[in-house]
Amino acid sequence: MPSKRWNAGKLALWLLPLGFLLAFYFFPMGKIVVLALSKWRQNGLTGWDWGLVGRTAGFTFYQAALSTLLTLVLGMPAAFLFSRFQFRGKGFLRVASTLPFILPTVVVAAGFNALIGPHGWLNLGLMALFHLEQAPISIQNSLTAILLAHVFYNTSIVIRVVSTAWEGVDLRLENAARTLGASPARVFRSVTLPLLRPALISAFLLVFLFDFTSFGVILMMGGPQFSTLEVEIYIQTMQFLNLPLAGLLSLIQLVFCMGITALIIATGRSLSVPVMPRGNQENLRKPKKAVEKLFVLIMAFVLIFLLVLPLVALVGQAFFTSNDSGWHPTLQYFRQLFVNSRRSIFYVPPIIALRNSLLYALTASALALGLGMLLANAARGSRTLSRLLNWLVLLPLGTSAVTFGLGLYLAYGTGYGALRWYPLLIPLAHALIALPFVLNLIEPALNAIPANLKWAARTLGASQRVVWRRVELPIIWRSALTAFVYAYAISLGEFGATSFLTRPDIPTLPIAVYRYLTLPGALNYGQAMAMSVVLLAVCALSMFVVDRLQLPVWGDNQRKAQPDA
Amino acid sequence: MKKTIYLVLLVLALALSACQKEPAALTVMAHDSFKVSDDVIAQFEQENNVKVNFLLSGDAGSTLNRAVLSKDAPVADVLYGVDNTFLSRALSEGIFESYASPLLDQIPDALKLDDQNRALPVDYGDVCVNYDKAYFAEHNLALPTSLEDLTKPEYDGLLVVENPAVSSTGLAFMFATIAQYGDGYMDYWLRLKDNGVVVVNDWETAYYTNFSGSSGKGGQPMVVSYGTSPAVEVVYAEEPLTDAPTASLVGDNMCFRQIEFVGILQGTQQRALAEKFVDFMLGTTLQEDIPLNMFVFPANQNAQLPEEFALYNQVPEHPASLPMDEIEVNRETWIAGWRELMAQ
Amino acid sequence: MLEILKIRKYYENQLLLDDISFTLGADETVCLLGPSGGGKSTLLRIIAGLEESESGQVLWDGQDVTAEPAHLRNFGLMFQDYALFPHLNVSDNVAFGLRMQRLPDDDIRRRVAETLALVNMSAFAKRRVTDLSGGEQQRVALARALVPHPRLLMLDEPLGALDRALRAQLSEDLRAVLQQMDIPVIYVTHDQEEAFAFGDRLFVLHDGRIIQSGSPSQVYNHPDSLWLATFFGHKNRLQGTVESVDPLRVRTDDGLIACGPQPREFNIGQKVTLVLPSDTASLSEQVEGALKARVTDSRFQGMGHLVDFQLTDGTELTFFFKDAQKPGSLVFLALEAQSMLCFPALGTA
Repeated sequence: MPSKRWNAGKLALWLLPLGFLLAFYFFPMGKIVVLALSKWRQNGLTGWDWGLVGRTAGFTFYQAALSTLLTLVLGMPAAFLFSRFQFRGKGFLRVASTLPFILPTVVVAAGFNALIGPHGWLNLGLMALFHLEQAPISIQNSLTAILLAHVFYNTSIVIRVVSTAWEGVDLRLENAARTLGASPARVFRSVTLPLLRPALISAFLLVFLFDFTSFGVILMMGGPQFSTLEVEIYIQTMQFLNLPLAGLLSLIQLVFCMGITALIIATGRSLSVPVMPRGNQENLRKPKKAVEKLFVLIMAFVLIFLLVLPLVALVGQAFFTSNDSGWHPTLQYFRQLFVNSRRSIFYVPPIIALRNSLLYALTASALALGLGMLLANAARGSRTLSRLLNWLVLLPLGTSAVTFGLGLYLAYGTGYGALRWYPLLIPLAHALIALPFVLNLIEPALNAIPANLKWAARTLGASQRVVWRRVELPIIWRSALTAFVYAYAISLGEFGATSFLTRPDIPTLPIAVYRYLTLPGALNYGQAMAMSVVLLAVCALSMFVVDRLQLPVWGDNQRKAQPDA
Repeated sequence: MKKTIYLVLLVLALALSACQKEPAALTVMAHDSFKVSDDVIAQFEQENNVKVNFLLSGDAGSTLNRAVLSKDAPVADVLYGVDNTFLSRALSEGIFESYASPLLDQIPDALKLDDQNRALPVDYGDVCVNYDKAYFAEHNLALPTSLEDLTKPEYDGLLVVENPAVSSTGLAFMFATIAQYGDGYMDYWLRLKDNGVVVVNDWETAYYTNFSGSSGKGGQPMVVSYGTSPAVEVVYAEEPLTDAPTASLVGDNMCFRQIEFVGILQGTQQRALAEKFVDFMLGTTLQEDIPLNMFVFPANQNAQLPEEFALYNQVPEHPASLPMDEIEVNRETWIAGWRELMAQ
Repeated sequence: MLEILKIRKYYENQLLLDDISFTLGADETVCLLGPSGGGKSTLLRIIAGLEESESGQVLWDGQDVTAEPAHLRNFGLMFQDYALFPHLNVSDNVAFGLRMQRLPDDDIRRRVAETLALVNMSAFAKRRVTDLSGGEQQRVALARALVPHPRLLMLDEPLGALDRALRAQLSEDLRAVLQQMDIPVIYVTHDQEEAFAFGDRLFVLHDGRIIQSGSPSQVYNHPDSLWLATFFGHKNRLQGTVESVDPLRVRTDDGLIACGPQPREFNIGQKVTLVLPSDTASLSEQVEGALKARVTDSRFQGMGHLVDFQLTDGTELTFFFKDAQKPGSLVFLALEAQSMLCFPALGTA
């Protein structure tokens, strides 16, 4: 394309996202580095322990690898389910399997406890059923609990990223391979899998980084005997204010993460095959064969059990109260949300927290989507550039949340009057965290568009921009929507960076949930659960709406089209 | 695409304009547990014609750390929430300006830890072991009366504590054991460990998941929590309670006393207002508002206690305490030792 | 009028187009013929402005349009795989170019309907393009390329993806449609029959150059390289030495063979390759000047029979005969001197 000339538009493609990264990632991180180094020069490095660091790094890697593997094992068949089959309740299951992603860890821990804790419903049920003395399921404070929580959290990433790509894989290619004598397993291995590879790698990277930098899950589900680099960084920073050591640990974590990321991107990312996009519903079918029906049934059951049931338990906690005579339904917790019982100055009605969360989430996801699209466009045509950008935007994910939060605070949060900037920084931080998701969803979709389509539009009189608006955007629309939903969910559920930048008068929903949990008392606990249910409901509702969005039609011919869609 | 960007800018601009209407104000930095009634603050604002902004900055440790890190460009005028376990760090980092408030007269000397009055005591509370009354009654179990009792076989597996490396309650309880046993605290923890002590990371998990006396209905009838938690259980019960479902063990050195301080941040441009606010925090209006909001005891001896406090709280006669300098010097070593021991 | 001047293009450090130049008359149809992967599509993209060449110019009516962006050139291009927009239905695909011109909706509707009627696709207007068969997609793609009235139409292997029967049918339709249009057309194909059927003129592209141009019959009957003769499917070859130049006679292992006049000069003693078109042999009673051959196979081929022969020195030849020949029989083949093609032997030119 004759666009090698650097014009203003092309430059803006680059400057905006790069400037954003520079201002809100590199500058804050630079602040931290400078501070850590000056402290190092002052006090030297204390508390360094090779054995501890080695053990911690080892465990961090081990649990992340294991979690990622398990997440893929569950996520792949689930992605297959969503991308190939049409069945009743699919929309619900799709949204429900995304919800875990937005929940604060405190709440997830509560949900798991209500379900499989020592006095959880499942244990009580099993004990009653088999007349057991002791709870048969006991995973509290174990590696199993960590893995379970990671799978619970991240399966939705695999489902969304992979199934979006899978929907685009032409069924005819698989059929062709079948007719060439390949067994279904062989077809999967030598046709489907290679075509899914870019998406798989994206999903793998995102999940791995999440697991590697995991903090809340390790603390709440794992217990004190487990420690990851992120936990150590938190302890060194927040407990001991040992910045040189915390900085060094952050660096180790970052190098570890980004090394692995670079390796994976370098070895695997290149294989993005342009495939003629298919209609939305084209590869979907109702399960017909007994095997297919069984598969759909089993997968739906597994997903409900692993991803939906803990949510149900959580909702149950918000709507039921227990005393000696058993469980009773109540709306008390919800009613109490609207009451400022102690006339606290920090009381914020749930509707306001909700409004704040929605405003932040919409801003952050629009920002992330816009920047993601700019980046995806900027990287086009150059494999090296695309890899570099992918690597660059993943940096914030591999960075310790504590370090990053502190960096943002140091860069923009200090000084008299800085307080009024906090509400602006929150969506910016959220957008930064969501950016890799957006890019990883949009870029493969964009690269999968055959060049001929763009060329055809060009010869028909469409400028680059019109090609983007009329051809490419509509084709990647579903991916863009998915990206938007993810950015939105990330922002709604984000806690770490938010807690650094939040102002008591404008809390988000997760912050509000957390506030209720810092006090004893059944009512506080119930209200925390009720607030979580509000968070869940809002997220579910927005996702249902977004899932049903069609691209605005263009021209009048389109309106009557697609009678069977 | 351009539209999207404009939209984003518009939203940002709106958010910005909404935030810029604030008049000149006094900013108070505090930890997340800080709570106060709105009319109390309104009274102060009216009397002094000022708007008070609060900045809640995480737990006590994080709040102090953030104040230390923004020392050269302070975010706030007043900092509340540094406790005796962190006081030494706050003082040595020099984040406070001295202020000898006239109200210090009304505060017992035992609570005043800084002779230069850079940090002024506001309230105090004890970290104690709470127990589930119903469990002990049902099992006809005698209550432990000392730390040593907790290692007895009849309490095998009945206590849940928090990790001192990440939880301030866990840290306070560890300090109590150090106050009791000195360097022998490791040996004591070994015995606790052999007696099946359950360790979790945070207070929320310990209280809501493991403790049998809370709504979580967990497996341990004893939990390291606050001396005032029983009163909170009554105040925040779902249905009005006649008695607290839990109580605290207040044997000698079983509880660790935490004192919280307020101070004027170095470099404030509103010294006069900041002084007024510190006075206000130590005055009886706010002091009497403290107990039912934060569930700690007011430092001002003239402040009246609410009846819930008298009825449901057990106050230790001889709480454990450690010199703050010793804490600051040994904190890392003590915690590292504990982690090494308990991780095995 | 289109003028292409010294277009040069490298692809991965290999010269793909080597100073291509040609001109195209006002309503002329030119066929660009060449093997797949020879840079034909690249040339079209360069003309369309979708790709940049390293050097050279594209002129329209004497004006240099090399730097003009693709969407302002109004050159229509129909792609080999049709490149229909999967997110639009048939009529929206066709309307795309008109919408770019911001025509009123009524005009757009009318012209889309007219063009769909022209390609016999009126009944499919509301269909999704992904539901169409290959032939239907081809018609839609053609309609889409035609409807904005481009000043130049480029067709890249328009029939390439279709099966044989469909191709014959659509080839007729396409000819009819193109004849109605008063615009210059560049038709790119690797298929000589298509090229012969469509082109007023033929350009043969090989190794990055236009190696021959002319009317289809000229080029076919007088390919001026052994490569082109082979490309046209002439497989029968005999090696020999020039015995005399006027008239041209070539000594082969199977005897002395007379050739008609050739476009190039030969020297006595020069090694040459004779190419014998497959419809140029007949059975001969005479031994003199004929080739002695054994029939090895004979198969029915619709209009007649393809017969394989083996000469005494082992050379294999295939000729077209009206009647079947009995395998194993010995015959004498008389060759039409006029159709005989003579080229310098490989490696000696």
